[in-house]
Amino acid sequence: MREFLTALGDFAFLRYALAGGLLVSIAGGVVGSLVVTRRLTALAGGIAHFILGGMGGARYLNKVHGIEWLSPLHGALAAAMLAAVIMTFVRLRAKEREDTLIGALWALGMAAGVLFIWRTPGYNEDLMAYLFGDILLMSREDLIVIAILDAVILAAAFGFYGQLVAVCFDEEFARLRGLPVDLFYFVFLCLTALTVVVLVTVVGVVMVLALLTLPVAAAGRCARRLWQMMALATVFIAGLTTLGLAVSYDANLPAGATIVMLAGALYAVVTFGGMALARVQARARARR
Amino acid sequence: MKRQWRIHAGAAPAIVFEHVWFAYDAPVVLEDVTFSISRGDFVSIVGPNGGGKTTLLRLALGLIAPLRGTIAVLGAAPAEARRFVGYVPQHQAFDPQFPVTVLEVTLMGRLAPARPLGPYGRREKELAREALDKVGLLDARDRPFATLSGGQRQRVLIARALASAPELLLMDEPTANVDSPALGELYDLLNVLNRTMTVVLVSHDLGFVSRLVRRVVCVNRTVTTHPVSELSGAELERLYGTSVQMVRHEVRGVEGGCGCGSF
Repeated sequence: MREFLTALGDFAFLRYALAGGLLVSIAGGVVGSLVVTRRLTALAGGIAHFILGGMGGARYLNKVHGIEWLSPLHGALAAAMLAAVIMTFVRLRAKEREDTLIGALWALGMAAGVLFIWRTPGYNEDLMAYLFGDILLMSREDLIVIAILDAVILAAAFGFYGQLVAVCFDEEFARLRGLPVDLFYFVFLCLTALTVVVLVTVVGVVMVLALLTLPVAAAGRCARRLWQMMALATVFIAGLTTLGLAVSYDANLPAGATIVMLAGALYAVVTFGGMALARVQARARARR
Repeated sequence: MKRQWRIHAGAAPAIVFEHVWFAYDAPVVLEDVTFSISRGDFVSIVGPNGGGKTTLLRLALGLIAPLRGTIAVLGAAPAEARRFVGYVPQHQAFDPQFPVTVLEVTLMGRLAPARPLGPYGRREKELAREALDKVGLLDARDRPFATLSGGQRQRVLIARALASAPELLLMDEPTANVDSPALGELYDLLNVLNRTMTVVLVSHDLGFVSRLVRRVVCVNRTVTTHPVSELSGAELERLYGTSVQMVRHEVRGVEGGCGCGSF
């Protein structure tokens, strides 16, 4: 651990990585709580895989057609917005089954990403970074994008907290009280899509669901209110990315996978610990 | 209780259906339905599953529109009247793990499009506490909704509806998954609420209904209305077919008996 702390003083990329992990925790904790309580995990997974197509496409245009300003992050953001629009449209208008369409977005995004990457000359290291994340590649621009997203999410969550709780808990009642439920759903999907994009920069397409759900589910076991769940999930994600970064640096392991394994451990401890605690309490009550 | 707002000062009936037809796809769910529920009445909508009870409720709430015919709620179009309608859905429809307290659920009744941004204000919390007090759950206000019993959750949802100061209370299957002591409390509570507002409940529990309400609206594609005292075995048999198991019991305040089915 001391090694990590000294390195932190020496290397700017490590400080960026640490700051990136702390910044994504806000978006991940707040939006992740909504995704988990609304049971939209599969939808978030679909968006995550769909953006691989966007990242691959942007890199292809950048390298092959020489569009200099276009980066994979731009492609990911565009694909995420497209996924949010498609999913909202399907929910409101089409009669297609939602889960079928999630599966289609999931697979087609991956396929498009693979085809673009195949056609792009150069090393396949980029592909590994998209799939499994590379928090060490976090740039100053990335940090600014994530900070802006955090600000938007916090403002929305604070300004519309009561409405958010109502829409998540009982959408029909919220509609009857005159809330623009469909607009809420669209904004929520957009914020989810953007959050998925920034989390992908940390842990990659394949593992993003773990970071979006495991710390949040662990927080949900301890929280009595939605805002407590959001706050605790933020703390958990911040702790996991920081610890994961330190462990991976000291042990020379990939950071994304290390963070996800730690998230799994946290979830297991909280879940089984909670169960054991409940059993002990029940036994104590029975003895009384 | 003082009524602060009315859509129409005149006592327009609580609910009026005139020649209403409805179908989701091909088969007709409701056929030329005409009935009216006056203000202050206490009515149950009864009928077999798939007979159109829920459709009738959703039409009255303006969540779906009729194919033909007109519907007026409190003298206005259903979507406009919503603000003055307290809707109580079935309590078992909710995610048992959702992290929300009793007071937070009740506060949802205060939501409105024109509400200012930010956290709930003091006045809103006060109204929610008053509503919880009416249903006898003020002491449970900080408990997680998930830890309540079925009967208590039902009453929280009633409090949520009351928090919006409704003129009409619409309840969907209030007796489902509620044990019998809680049913007694629910019975008393609804009787008190009926002093100040129209109460309409959808129920398949005729035993509960016939003790409580004054009139029933029988739905099975078509609609007939009866005072409870006329609800006879023959009528129920016509409505539900012959498979209904009949239970005879006395109806309070009504001479003679009445047939009630449970199924």
